[in-house]
Amino acid sequence: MTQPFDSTKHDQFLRLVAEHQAALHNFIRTLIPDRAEASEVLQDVTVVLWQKFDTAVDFKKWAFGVARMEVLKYRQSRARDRHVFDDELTNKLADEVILREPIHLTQREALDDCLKKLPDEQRELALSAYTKGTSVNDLASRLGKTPMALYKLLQRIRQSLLKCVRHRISQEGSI
Amino acid sequence: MRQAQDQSGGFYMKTDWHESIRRHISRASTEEESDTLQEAMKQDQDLRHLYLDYINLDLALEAKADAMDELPEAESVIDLNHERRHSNTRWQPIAIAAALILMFATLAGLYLPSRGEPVAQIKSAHRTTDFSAGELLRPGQRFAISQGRVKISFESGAILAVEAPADLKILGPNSARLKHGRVTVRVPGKIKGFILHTPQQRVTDLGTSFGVNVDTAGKASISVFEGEIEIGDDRRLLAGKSVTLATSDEAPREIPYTEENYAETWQISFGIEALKGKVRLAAPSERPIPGQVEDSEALLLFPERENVTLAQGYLVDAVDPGLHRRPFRKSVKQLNEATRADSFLLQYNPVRSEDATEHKIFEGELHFDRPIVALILQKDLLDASDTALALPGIDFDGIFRRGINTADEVTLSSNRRTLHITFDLLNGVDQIRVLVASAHNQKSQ
Repeated sequence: MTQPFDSTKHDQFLRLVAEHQAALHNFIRTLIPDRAEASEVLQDVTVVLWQKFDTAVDFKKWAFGVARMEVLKYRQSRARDRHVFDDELTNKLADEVILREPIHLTQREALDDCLKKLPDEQRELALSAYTKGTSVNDLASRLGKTPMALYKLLQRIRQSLLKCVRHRISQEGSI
Repeated sequence: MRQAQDQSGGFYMKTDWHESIRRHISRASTEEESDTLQEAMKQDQDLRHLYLDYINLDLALEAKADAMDELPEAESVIDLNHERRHSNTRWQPIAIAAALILMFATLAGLYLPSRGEPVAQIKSAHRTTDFSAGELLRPGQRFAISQGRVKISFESGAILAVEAPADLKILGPNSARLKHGRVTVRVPGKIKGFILHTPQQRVTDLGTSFGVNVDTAGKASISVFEGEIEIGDDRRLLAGKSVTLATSDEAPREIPYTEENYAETWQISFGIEALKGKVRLAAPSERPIPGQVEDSEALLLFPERENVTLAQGYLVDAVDPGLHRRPFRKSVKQLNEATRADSFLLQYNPVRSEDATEHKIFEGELHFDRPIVALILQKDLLDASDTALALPGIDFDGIFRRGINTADEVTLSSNRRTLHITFDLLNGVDQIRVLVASAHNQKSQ
């Protein structure tokens, strides 16, 4: 880019990116479930956003549009990977995840109560499994279980958490 | 919604799509499994939603695990190695207790990827020194207001208008807890699922607007203005109904419907800071039927559609501050850029009478918490804008006198937030449309 550096524009861009980064990351993860691959695409998206940044537009809507295009581009480079959905399904999911955002926010809120309803060991296990850098194999050997047994147990926990958040079964705490 | 989930849940259990989705996400699926899942997802929206909900669950669990990882004490709580991190065993119970407190404090406040991110914003604060417009609110933040009225906009799009004295707590991007005070909650558009906890039960919005009052003794009363709500886990309540909740294990008790008590919070929920002179806001039950509401003593302001995108070049009668009156001749204006607006219909529709020659002068002022972006003042443009701006299902066919007349004056203030009106009215219907910058998603504009 040869245009002169505009510090106000730069500040505004950083503020907008900071504000929407989490939402963008979540959007990309929906289309590319792998955490590391999604981070890679998010970096590409941020570069494109900066190159084409225009202060006048609705930033979030535009950024999601750019993210979708970058995901499709990434997908093309991985077209032979069976763990990546094709364009048709990727586009459908991208449309629907935006519409479903309010429901997802509610489900996220319900998660606290749903976690509290799990037996202590299951709750701890779920959170351990989702801690960065933890692999199922490591966790299984720490717990003295086989990876398959742990995988099945985690799957049962996820399924019951999903059922719970979908039904918004939450008990009240105190103010 | 619930029924659909139950059905889909049963269906998925049998065909084990849960397992297919998990295997796909963890990259353990075979080519055949992935193809089958992909084709099924293309056909079945419920299945796509199941997939999206699983990803959302993963993201939420990751966010929680990450936040706990940042807390050194909390690690000992979820330490599966059972290693002694503290050499002095006497301190261990205290350390664990502290960690538990930290963990629950974190879980209670953590609804977003990073802890403490704002989830709501004060959009307008009227006659209060407790808070000011623009202030950001975070999960877990207590909100006690001793005077005035405040409009809070949640990240989900839900709007909560609160009238002092009140005490509430922000819980997340789509929920709050009301300890005492009076609020109106409005959830415009397709947004659903806002949860307001009262001392007895939680109230879940199912696409609606409703009012809740919790008195100083902790007793709650609820009125549903529009749409439907759910009280607790399984009690539905429709528009036009009111109930009281005395205790958490007692069923809600129906009482005569009331909306008058919520006039202030209903008004502030639309970002109307004040109505002066002979103007009043249509009550919730009047909102969907402007043609049928007759009032000889006041101009009525009807909130119409919200967050409507009007294209660049959209035709209106006025966009600039200053005095606007007939004749307009060629003064029709175009919007300079695509604009998101909330529409309000200002109407004079008197009770029909035989004496049709009586002149009446109505003077009034509308004060908004955000700028007025355009005015529609003539019949032809009112007719043309009904489809986009009137609430669905409203019929203006019987209304032949729309727009303003020769003696009428409309003045938009230089800061665009106040509209002064002088209408010289004969017996008959007069209408204008006031378009205000959309209150929703201003953050991202």
